Amino acid sequence: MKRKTPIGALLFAFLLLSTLLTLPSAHAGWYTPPTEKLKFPMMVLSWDDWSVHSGEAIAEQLKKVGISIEVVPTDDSAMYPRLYDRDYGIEEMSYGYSAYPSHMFYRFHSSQDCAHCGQDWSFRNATIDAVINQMLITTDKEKARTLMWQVEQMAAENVPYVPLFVSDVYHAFRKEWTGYTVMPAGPISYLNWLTLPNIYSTAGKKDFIIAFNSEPETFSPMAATTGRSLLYSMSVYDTLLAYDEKLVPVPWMTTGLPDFSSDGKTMTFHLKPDLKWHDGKSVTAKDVIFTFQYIVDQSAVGASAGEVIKYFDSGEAPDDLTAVIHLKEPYVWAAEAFGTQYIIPEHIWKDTTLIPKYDWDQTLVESSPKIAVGSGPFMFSSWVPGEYIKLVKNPNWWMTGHPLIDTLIFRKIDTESARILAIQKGEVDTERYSVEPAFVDQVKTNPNLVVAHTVDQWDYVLAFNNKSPPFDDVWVRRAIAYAIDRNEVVKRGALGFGTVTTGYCPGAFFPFWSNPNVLTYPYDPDKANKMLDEQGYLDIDGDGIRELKSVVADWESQQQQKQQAQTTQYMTLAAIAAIVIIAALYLVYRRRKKA
Amino acid sequence: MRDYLVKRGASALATLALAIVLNFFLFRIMPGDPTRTVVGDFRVAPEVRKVLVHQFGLDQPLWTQFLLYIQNLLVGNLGVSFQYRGTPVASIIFGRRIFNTFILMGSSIAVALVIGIIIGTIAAWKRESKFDVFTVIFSLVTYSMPVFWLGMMIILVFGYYLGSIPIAGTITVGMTYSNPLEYVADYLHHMTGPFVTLTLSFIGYYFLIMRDSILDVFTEDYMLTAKAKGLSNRKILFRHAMRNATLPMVSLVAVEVTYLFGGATMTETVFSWYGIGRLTYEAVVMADFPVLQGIFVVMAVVVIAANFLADIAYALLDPRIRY
Repeated sequence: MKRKTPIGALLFAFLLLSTLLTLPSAHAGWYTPPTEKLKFPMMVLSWDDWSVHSGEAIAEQLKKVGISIEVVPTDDSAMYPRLYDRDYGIEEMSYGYSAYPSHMFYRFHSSQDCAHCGQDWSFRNATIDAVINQMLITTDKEKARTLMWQVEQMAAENVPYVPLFVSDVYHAFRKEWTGYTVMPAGPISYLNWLTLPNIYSTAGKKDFIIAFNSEPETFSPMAATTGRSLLYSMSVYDTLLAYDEKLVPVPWMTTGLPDFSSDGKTMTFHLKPDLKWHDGKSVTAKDVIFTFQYIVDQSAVGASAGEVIKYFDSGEAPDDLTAVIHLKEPYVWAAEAFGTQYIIPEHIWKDTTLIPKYDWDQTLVESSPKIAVGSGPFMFSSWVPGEYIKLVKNPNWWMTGHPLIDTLIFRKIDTESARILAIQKGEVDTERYSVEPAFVDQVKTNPNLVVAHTVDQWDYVLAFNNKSPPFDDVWVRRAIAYAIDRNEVVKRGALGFGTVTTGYCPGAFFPFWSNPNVLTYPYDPDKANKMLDEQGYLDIDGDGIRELKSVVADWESQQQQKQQAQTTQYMTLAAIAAIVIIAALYLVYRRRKKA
Repeated sequence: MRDYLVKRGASALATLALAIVLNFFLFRIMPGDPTRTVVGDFRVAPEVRKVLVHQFGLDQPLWTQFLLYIQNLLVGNLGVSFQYRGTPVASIIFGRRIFNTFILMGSSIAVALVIGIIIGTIAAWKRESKFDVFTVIFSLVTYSMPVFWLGMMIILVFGYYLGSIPIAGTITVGMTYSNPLEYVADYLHHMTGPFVTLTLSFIGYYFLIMRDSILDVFTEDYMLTAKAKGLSNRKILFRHAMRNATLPMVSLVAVEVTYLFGGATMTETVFSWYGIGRLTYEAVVMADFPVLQGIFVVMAVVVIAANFLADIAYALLDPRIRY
């Protein structure tokens, strides 16, 4: 009986040990900057094949300019903390675009250089900060665009990271469906307001079924943060504005784009008359103001809610159709950020809360669909957990006659192979995401399917820790930018399913904002080599890898010293020799004289 | 007997307590950052991320989190899920998911067990016959075949080409049922694929153990006695050999109870069967600690309870076990 104790003690020891390991957040510094050669480990995201294979292609290309990269596939649980701690030198993975280029602020502004912030690359530049600050408060889009071009140009000059490519969308539909809009991020996405109200079947089918790989994590438009829950929210709830196929804002629940006061701090939306909630009550400007106030009071986490929380000061509804919003300061994308919030009905939400007191025993967010009363094109009908969500057409929607389908179903199918089979068989009509690369050819050749092709919002970049030598040297970053053959990276990394990006605000995704004359770094390994040579990164030991500038400088001064020492030696020798010769001559002369 | 009960009960409770404590720290050892995976969306501003971190209590010291976890557990609260934005873990686990898993696993384990025992017995009886060779090969093949591959093949052939089973899910999308029987029929129709897959993958294991165990029994003296008594082959086989050989199977079943609630991740994923196995997988991917903790606590309770009951049952049934 006494033998039992060791096991218990062992378990206890294990527990104690594991706890101790956890306490100092288990972090001890992974990366050490190189001290001799241009040789670094490069983190790539281990579960993302594209990140890994692009990294391998880049490593091979950089080898040609004397830079040695070791690709280190890293799990995100290890990668992100390292990025936050700037415990890395170089990394490659995908980030993402929003519908408007707010990433130009998040990725380049000094205020975003912090853990859990917008940028992982410790990039600080006072000049860029000043222009971004100016751009952020410019409500005139044309003027803002001129400033944006400057930002993009300056970013290109400083190369805080190297843009590589954006992934492509290959979206498969059953061929009888038409009327969808192909635009950046895909024909079915939460940035696409146009497809679901306008899609219809030439075969007269009235049910449109979309296969999802997982359920929306919430039915609350105030808590939705993922593509699937945002798509649900967008179907049931309406927004003040929407985007056209070029991601330019267009009126939606409103009669036009919002008016701005001359100081840019007051924004006025005018609602369309006779808008109705799904329960029959009227949508008024009060609901609009309520929505923004709710987002601020409850710290909602929905799409661009952060910007509403940051800029919303107060709001008022002088009449039922006019919503006046006072901003804390002008904001270039105020119309987009406020205009794309899902408007919720005050009469249903007014006594609800989103954030509980901190005790873990309340539902944090109302995630059941029972409050799913919106004013959007579709109405909630039924939900079978783990199976499907069924929405039906809202017959009273403001766009008369639309949607053209009667039923919209989100069906959960866990694996891509089963989803593709289901589309081919006709059990579903399309899927939420792009077809996975391995299936694209199969889908393209199927006579019953049509494939829509566009760019997605995930952009792959090669990023530097801009503070860590040698990446603190802009010439090294520039040389690397020249040394990368992006076409080859797309071909090898993304199997060709990507679109090369040369700028920081690429025209393929942001046709309005992109700078057409921005500095680019076309593939030119010779130029890269020359640049590194000129900057003093030379391969002095002949192993094909360049040495650090400081090492080269040391080596050069050593060489010089050696030479100097040698010269002194020669001089001394010469002097001694001269003295000896003179002495010898003198002796000979004296002997002769004696003789 | 009372002493035995108290002793076993106390040790079961102690194990449970240890499991619960371990359960909390197990997931914290992983160097994961649930906020980045849960709030992976790039549009979520840093301020919002902070709010979420606070909502989930991840900004609290580990010991505070641990005390809250224990405190909540004592009142039967499993916490709230990260990935499902604050839905209570209890409502996620004890819903359709555990029902689906229980039905699927229960039926396939039961059927596989019955088939395994029967053909195992026959194969052992007719050792080295064609039947024996065939069933051994068959069970080795099905046992070592990757379950997901078998599942995908079944979907491809029966779901896609023949169209006799549905490709995914547990019920037909958007269907309304006029009576419960129709619902049951639809449900069973959807269960065919995963049921066949799992049954096939389980049979081999049970079959091989049963066959070996019968072969062992055949060497026992009482088999000779039975033969000497002039009993028929059938009686010897099913009354004496099979009954005694089934004892190891009983303890095997006690272990299999875990699967009843734990589910089969691969099969559930391939057939989009909405169960606990799939939930575990999702929770791991999303670093959803509360859900994982919840599943593990439930499993720990089930396993410990099952073992406790098995101990008592053994003591009652088998006179050789003393206490």
